[in-house]
Amino acid sequence: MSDFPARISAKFFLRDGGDVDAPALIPVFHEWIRRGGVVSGLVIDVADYHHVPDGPGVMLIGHEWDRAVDFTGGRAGVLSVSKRDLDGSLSERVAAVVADALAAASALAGEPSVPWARVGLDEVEVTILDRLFAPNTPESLEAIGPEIAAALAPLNDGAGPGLEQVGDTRRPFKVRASLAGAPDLAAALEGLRASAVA
Amino acid sequence: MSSRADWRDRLNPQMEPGLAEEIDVFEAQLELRQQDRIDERVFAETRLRRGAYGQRYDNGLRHDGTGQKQLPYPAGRLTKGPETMWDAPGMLRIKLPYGGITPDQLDVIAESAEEHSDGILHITTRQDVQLHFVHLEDTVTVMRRIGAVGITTREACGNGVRNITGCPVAGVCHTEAFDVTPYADAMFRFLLGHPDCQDFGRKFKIAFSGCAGEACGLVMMHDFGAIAQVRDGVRGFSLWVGGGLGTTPQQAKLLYDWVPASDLLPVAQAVGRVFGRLGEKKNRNRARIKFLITKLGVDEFRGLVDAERAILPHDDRWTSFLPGAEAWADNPRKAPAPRDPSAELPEGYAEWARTNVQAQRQAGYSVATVALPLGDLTSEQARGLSDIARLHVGDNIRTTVEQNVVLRYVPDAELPALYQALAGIGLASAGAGTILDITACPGTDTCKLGISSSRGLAGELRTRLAAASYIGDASIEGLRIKVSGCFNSCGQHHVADIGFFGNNRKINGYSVPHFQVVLGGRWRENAGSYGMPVGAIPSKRIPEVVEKITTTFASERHEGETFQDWIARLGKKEIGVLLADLKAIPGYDEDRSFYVDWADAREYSVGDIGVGECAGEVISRTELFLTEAEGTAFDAQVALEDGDLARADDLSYRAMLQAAWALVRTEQFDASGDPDDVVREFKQRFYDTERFFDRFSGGKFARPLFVRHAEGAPSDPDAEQVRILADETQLFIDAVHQYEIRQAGATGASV
Repeated sequence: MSDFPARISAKFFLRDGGDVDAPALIPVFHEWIRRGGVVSGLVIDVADYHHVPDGPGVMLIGHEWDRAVDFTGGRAGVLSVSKRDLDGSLSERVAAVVADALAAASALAGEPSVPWARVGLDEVEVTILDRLFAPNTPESLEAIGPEIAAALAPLNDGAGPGLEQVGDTRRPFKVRASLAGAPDLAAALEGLRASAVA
Repeated sequence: MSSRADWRDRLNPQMEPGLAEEIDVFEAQLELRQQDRIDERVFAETRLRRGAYGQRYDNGLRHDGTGQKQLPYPAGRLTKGPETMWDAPGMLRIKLPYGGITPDQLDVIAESAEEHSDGILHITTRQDVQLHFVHLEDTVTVMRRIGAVGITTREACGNGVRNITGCPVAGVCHTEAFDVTPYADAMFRFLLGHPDCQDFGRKFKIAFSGCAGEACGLVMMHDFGAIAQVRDGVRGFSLWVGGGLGTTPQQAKLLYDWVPASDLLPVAQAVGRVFGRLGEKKNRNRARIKFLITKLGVDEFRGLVDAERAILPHDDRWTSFLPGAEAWADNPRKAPAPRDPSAELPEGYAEWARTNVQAQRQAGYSVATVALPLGDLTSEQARGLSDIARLHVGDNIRTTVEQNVVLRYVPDAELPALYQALAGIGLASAGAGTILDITACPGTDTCKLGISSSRGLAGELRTRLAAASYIGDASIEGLRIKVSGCFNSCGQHHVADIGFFGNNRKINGYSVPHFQVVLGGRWRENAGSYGMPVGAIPSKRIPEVVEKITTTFASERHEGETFQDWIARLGKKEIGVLLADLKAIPGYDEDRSFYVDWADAREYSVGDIGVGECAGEVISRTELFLTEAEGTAFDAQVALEDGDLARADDLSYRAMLQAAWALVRTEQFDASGDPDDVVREFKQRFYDTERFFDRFSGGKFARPLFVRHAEGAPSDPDAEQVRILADETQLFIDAVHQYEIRQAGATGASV
């Protein structure tokens, strides 16, 4: 067990969050499980929470990762949550989670039955789901903000973006970053993966 | 930044003595199991007693709609129980005695759900909270975090005393004898980990109610229940024993018509001792206390409890809680205040207040029900709810068996503000306690035993009913719908006006999800009577069932006639006619949606099913015979309804014989139909070989046939025993269907 948090999430918001048909994701995610290899890791099942207001929508439950079109905070977005220990520094771990969210978004972009599931690349939310490691305080932002910003740099013309801390101390540590925006998902993914490897 | 291992060091000092050590021990057991130094069966029971339960697909297999596929968990062959893969995510059940929870506790559960689960808190039909998709290694941290705020997962699962439920409006309702809260709390603490409750063959569920007339604690469907009564100024309880739902639902029997509160705990302890000593241990399917009560009779059981009570060594805890219980009083956050009738009300408030608010006994206060869709709320909503509670009601929060939350001691003047605050977190839905407020167990979503999608169906019904104009009829609005994913009744369908439990049927070689329809259960009077099964309907036609039943009731009921009375007046025959056309299923090529369950996209399956031509031929012949058996079983129910107990008994027996004969003839084309031959051949070929057994229920569904065959017709049939036999008959036929489906799968796989 490392001293870094296992649970980190990244969320890219949908470009048009107003026309979302969450149940349409159910067959998409089941098909991903059947096909295998669409997203990384072991995918196990589909959890339907679309009846919960501002909830996790429809989730693709995995062993290492959960993915969802998530509605928390009233804004729909493609969410990826790491659940098992990742390798590397905190910055590399955050980069891996952000890359996984983009990979999920990329896979959804290839699904014609969910044409609304297209993310923008100009904003991302990163959450550290480990209050012991990182309470949602200014001190945490000071301590780990630079590592998160470094992880996001490939999506921001190579420069670490400014981070806006979200929520009070009862919430998990969460930052929102405005990004310069990569030209497309493939370029964004490529930049992140190169960064993670480096 | 802190190390992840710090939770132990940080939280252990905050826990009650002993609890921290117990969790440390469990953590050590986890490590030993990982090193294969503890047997998997022993570890499974240990894990269950700590509330860590298995989930669907934890055997490493999952049907993806085209076939059963391996889920290659990284830990490989390491298991956390028989056929339960170590890495498979599981469920953690958190006990909330009588549903009581404080804002601080709610916050911690919310954090745990967020950090170790999928961010959803699920309220169960026994007032627990369940977190799903939890990795086993993470359960220890959750136990510590919730333990530090005084709640536990201990004995939330396994063969022990489960959560003790209680009326969520205890202390504030108008009909109670007195507030049962401190007594339920005392029993919870007394029995938790009690040595006399560690040797049960099965789980043991206890409920408390403040009065007999309302639903409240649902005492009549519990293993052991207490209903408050005051006699000559002394607080006490009537005690009930042996109730239960599941495959053989039974109403609890009166154990004592009154015992003083000072005798409550020792009597419970004595009951535990008798059950632990004499209850069935080997056969799980006959191990609930209801079977012991049936076997001994309640009078003999009472004698045993009396004898045990007489020799119990004294325990100060029996009475040490009494002064506190007598003095018990809730602590409202705010003083009572009447609502200002001239104040402007927020939009939607009036409807919400009509269905979700009830006046308390204490003037100036109300209870507000927070209606949770399918019992779910997010961590963020839970935090919002705890903030709202802190502001308006303090610690006066309870979960309910209808999978909602109630806020007690809301000053009437603050109800509009409370409504607006709830609306701000998406929790201001109206319709609590109405037909929209549907209860559903997890079913096939996460439960290993689920047959059909109870949550999928409940969600679909909720959506359709919310848009249906016909539910505006007052006689319909107040009906309750409850859905279970299988016959085990976790959705409590037996006590709903309209209940459903999942099963399946083989149609033209394909499995089709169905729900058995159960009508006319009585929620009031502490789950006063159970509904009548009226037949299995394809899952996709259940919304039509609801519409047809409710609208017919609204249009044809007599003045003042209740739903229960109407169902009794119609009887099984007429209801059968009413629903007959809904049993039809379009061909697979005509409409495949019937072959897919609600909220799913996979072709429906109950396992590996292949369709070979040989299997198809055999099944169609067998299905024909089984249809005859179902017809006979239906006639048995009708006879039962008509009060002809001897005929109902005989027809039930014949229906089981027909179903058994159907199976025998799959292997012996010209098999004799003589009852002795049928039972002998069925037993030898299918039961003794355990081929008929399924992995969860074993062969229990066949035993009623053997018993009835051996004992012959009763000379003086007892109504309850005949009803049980009639219900068991339907379950036996269902089990034969299941066997056929398994068999077809095996045959298909080998083709």
